[in-house]
Amino acid sequence: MASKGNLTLKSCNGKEFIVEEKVAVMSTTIKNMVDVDDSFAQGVIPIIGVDGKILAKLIEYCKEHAEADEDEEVKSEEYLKKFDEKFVDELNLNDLYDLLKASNYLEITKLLNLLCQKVASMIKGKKPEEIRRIFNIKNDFTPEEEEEINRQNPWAF
Amino acid sequence: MATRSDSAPAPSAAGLPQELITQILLHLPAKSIGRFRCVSKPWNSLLSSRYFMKSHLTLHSIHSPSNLIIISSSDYSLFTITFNPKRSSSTSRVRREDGVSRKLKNCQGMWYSLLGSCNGLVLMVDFDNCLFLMNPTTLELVKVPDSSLALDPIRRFSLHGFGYDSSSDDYKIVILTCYGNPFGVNEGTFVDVYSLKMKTWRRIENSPYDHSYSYEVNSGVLLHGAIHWLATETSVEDSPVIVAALSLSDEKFTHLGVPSCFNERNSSAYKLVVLEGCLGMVCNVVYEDYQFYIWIMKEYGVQESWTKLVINMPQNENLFKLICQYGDDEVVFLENGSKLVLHNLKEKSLRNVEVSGVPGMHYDGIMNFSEILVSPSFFS
Repeated sequence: MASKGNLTLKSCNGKEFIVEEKVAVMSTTIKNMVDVDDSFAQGVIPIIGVDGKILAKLIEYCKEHAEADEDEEVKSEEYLKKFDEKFVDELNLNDLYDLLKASNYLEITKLLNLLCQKVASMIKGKKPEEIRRIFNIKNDFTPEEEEEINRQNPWAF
Repeated sequence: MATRSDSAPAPSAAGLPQELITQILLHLPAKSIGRFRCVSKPWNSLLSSRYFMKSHLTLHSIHSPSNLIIISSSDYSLFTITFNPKRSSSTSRVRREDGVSRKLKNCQGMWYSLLGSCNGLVLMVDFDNCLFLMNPTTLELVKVPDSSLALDPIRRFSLHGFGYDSSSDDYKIVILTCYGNPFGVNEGTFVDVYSLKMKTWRRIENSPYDHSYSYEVNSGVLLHGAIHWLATETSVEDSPVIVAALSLSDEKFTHLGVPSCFNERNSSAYKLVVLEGCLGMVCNVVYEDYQFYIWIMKEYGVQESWTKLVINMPQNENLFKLICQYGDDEVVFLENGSKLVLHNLKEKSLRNVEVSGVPGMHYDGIMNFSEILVSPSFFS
């Protein structure tokens, strides 16, 4: 059992992580669980559908971004920006998409925005046919319709 | 949430739920959104929906505008400029452009002045004194109907303002028309408001202030849902300088005090700006010992919060004029009326930027705007 002020998070493949409560409640989902049911604060919180590797990454992020304690120095915006840049740059595509889903499920808004921004910057320069391939989307326009849409948005090309 | 088995296929964004895809698309710049409308029918309706455009605006409006629109001072045509992020100190000898300029070819006309910018829309006036709203990103251009309330243009001058009013979800254009008698004495300032939603002009209560102080810089500054102009409290000589603020929601004037030492010293202010989300006042005598002074109202509406911001300039005899903020960290200066220089507020450094293709620049013909998909005929 975690000591007071700490919570135990358990990944879907059975890995347990003991983290400070302030770190864990960066996740709105976990915060709501702890707020509603005191037993979670005492026992183990199962993190459904998130494996140990991804959960470790999430915790790494939340540790940096959790509010500073009174005796701690507040991290500078610049420091956090640098940390964020490095954090997303080191992710491979698999982990990026898994983290994206996990941060959405756990409602870690800051991380979710950071990861969405990363994917957006990866795809922003792509052509429509590349986008269809990446997201596995079928082009349901007739050639005439597609031409018409292109005509409506000439500034975008 | 689905877990991926060990034999998962190559990573792909295809497995992402629609809500996450929407989230990702919201983070895209305006141009990519326009291009991705032809990915598929569902994407086209999502990316053209009012909900999406509004969420996109909300997400992106936390950043300061990072594009410039410029009226060329030689042929009065329009250009946009986007600067590349600061380049690292590489020793590469190949000179690279620091900014990309683009001529807005479909917006032909003789443009006189830029009057205001809000959420990606720019208010401008041409040499025939016609007002136009344009979105420099989507190149949509809409003429604003002439005000039937306008009076004899002799012995008057006008100030303008443009902004979004969240209380009525409407964009409003404001014209202050100041009339003077033949002796130059101010006889009152009429205030006309155009609603983009209603497509009508209305005359509201006269301004209680004397606006002749802003004769030179006629575009008001939008901040916290109000438009601000430098003015004086009354028409009496030596009347104190104030910042007149017209709230776009209740359409009433209030005023903010300028730094208390300002009126005592008889200083004169040139114009208002928005810097890092605060109201700023640029003074006429700003340039001493190669330092540039701007007064910043750190806490909106609190007169005691005016703070002097000092920017160190190059030690030469060139004349620098502050234009506007550019992106979250930089401020644009015009050097000797011809060259743009960026000052980084955080790093306190200057960078000279090279942009080719714009034939001539003028102090009044430069404004910042954001790349946002709002249409100037949005409500039609």
